[in-house]
Amino acid sequence: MAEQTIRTVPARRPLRDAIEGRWFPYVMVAPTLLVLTLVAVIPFVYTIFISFQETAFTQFRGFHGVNNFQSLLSDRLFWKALSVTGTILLVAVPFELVIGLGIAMLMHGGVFGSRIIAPVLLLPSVVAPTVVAIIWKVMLAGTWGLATYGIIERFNILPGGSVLGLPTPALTAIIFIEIWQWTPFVALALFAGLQGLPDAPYRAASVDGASRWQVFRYLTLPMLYPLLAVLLLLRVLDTFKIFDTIFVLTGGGPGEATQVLSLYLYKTVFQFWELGRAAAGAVLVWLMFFILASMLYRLFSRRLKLF
Amino acid sequence: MKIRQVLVLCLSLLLVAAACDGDDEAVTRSPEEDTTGPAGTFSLAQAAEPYRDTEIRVLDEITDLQPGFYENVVPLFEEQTGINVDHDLQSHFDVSTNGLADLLSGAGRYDAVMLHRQEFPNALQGNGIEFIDPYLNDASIRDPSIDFANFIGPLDGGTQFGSERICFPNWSYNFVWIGRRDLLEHPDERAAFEAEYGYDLAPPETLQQMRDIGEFFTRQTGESLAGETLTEPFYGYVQDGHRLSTIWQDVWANSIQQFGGDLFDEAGNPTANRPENVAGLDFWASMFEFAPPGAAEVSLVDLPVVLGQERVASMIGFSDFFFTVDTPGGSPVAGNLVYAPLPYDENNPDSRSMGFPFSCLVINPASQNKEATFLFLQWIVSQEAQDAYLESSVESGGGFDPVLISSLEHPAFTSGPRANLNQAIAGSLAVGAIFPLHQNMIEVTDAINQRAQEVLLGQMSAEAALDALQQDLESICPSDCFVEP
Repeated sequence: MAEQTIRTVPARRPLRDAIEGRWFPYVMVAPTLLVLTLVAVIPFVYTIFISFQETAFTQFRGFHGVNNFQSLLSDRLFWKALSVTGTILLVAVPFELVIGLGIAMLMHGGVFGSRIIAPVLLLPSVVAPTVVAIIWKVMLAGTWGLATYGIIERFNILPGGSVLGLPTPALTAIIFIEIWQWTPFVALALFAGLQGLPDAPYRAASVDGASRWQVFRYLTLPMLYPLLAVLLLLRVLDTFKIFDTIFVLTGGGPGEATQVLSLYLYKTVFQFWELGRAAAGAVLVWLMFFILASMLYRLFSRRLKLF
Repeated sequence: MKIRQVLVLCLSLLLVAAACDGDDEAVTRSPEEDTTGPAGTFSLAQAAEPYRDTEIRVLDEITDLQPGFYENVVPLFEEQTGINVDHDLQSHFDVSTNGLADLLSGAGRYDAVMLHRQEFPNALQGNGIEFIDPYLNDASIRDPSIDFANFIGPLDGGTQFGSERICFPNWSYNFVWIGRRDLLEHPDERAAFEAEYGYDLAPPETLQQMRDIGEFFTRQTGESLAGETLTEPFYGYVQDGHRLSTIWQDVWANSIQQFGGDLFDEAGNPTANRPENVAGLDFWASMFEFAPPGAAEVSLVDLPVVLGQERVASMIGFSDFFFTVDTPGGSPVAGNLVYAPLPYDENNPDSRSMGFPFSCLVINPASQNKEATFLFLQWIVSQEAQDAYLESSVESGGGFDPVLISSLEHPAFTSGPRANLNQAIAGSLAVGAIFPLHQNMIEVTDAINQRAQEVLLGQMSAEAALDALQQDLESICPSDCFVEP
């Protein structure tokens, strides 16, 4: 009798096969996508809808064309808020990256107690922005602030004024606080990046007699470019949204000196009840983010070939 | 035995039926029926009977006035009516934002929401107010003893919108002048002041006198003050200068209007750049010459702090902020303050006015408990509640701003440790002037704040600021800007 080859046919499990097969990645991200759709995509689409509506407090009065956008773009305060936001961004972010890189390099080079310093360094970044603002209010408040009373008034640094009571010092203080809060985060991210760099290039550079500056300029920095690019993008987008600190410390004043775009839009919604204009502002801000992020990504991926 | 049990059961059922029948009768009572007792009398307890065990939620502001009121006085209402008042006290800015949001969105989280006068236009235009006229016309819940003629000054007219009534007035916030008693009564200071200015040193009656006092007490390190050598600068005056604060009230009513000007005409057209406005804005900004550094960041809530630090001699501020400051143990200057009504321009005594930022609790159109809420709001302005409030504030050291004329004559108001403050409050309330109902009121106040600060910071002259403000106001609303019924 010839041997019979028994061929087992596995039971059909189409659903399980589908889940564990090529649909597996989509199944895994489906819950997150669902939540994102509910809390981000749908509200955003609704915001775009509102931006084209004529609104009266919480009521819609019909399609309004681009009037909300025109009204916004012709408002002097909108452009002033945009310029203040841009100023903070263009000053604070480079400082954060440069100082953060310096701190990361120091820690990477070996600092006593770095394991303790690292988490302590992160404290400003993990504290809520509102709490940060309160801390600095205690430091800088006119007449009763610790730094105001102990340093500024004592040495007559701002005769007749105070840090938060004068336009330029107030804006400078906001920028300084922003740098103070987020440089540690940048430093720790770059420190982690430095820890992950390969040793081989450095050994080769050592053999070739490269100086420390040459090692940094031609090895360390290029290898950190991808991480720096991501940090730059994150900090630009985050700084653009700055709100809490300014709301608590200055309220956008003195005058318009520290009124950023997010505060301007907040007042448009919650004080002036102009939902249509505020929605138009939100759409414009998103467009700016999108264009900026696209430009940066194109720069990093095509020109610098980082990604 | 069985028969007995059946009889007991029947009797029990009959008693239960009788009790239920009585409740139905109370619930379905028609509005025209008299509430209780002898004809013409009103009983809060009986009027509230259909609403017993109801809970109403109230959103109110937190200053020195509200905590004592809700803690010590509101329980009297709850005991009489069985209506539970769940109150939520929030800061000035939060109650403005959250309150309007609840009224305008229809969410109905609160049955009653506190609105400042400047928020009335938004709420009216957004149909966010339940007028109280239907309830005033309901004999079953209207207390006939509430006399609107007994409301102080413009509180009667200020709570009306055309022929309808928005609310009962609750918090008669007012500005007074506050000064350091020890400095004003020091013999050396009095002699020096009289020698320099030619009149006695005393709480000011006019703005010019207020300025003289501010100038006189502004001293540098090393100079003498009340017989002691200063180790740090001392300042004669401070007032609200913060971008998001209430400087618009100081500028508009307490300064510009008192100097004979105004920012709008009677038709609601912007008139910020009229020549007579310049003097008022100039005066307001010039007072910061005697203020501590950083005036542009001092808000209305910072004023008591600055005074409590003993660095200034005088200020204009809201009276309700000083009940705690001037209570024993409340601050280093407790018991050492003297008060006066808001000063006026000596050249325009007929224009004397105080910006009257009163507020009131309005019924939320989305409330499910409007009648119960009305009973509460009506009771607040009753003589019983106001007397209890005044007496409890004296006992507890809490605040009290009167809304009834009859309260001004109460012994607890005219005498005792608060007599001077109360006298100043009464004087300011007597010249209270309500703000118009501009359809974009909040934007207007924001524009005034901005331009006033720019003058304060020396970025532009008063004249240039008023020209710029005129453009701002015209871009917000070019003409006919007041909300009409």
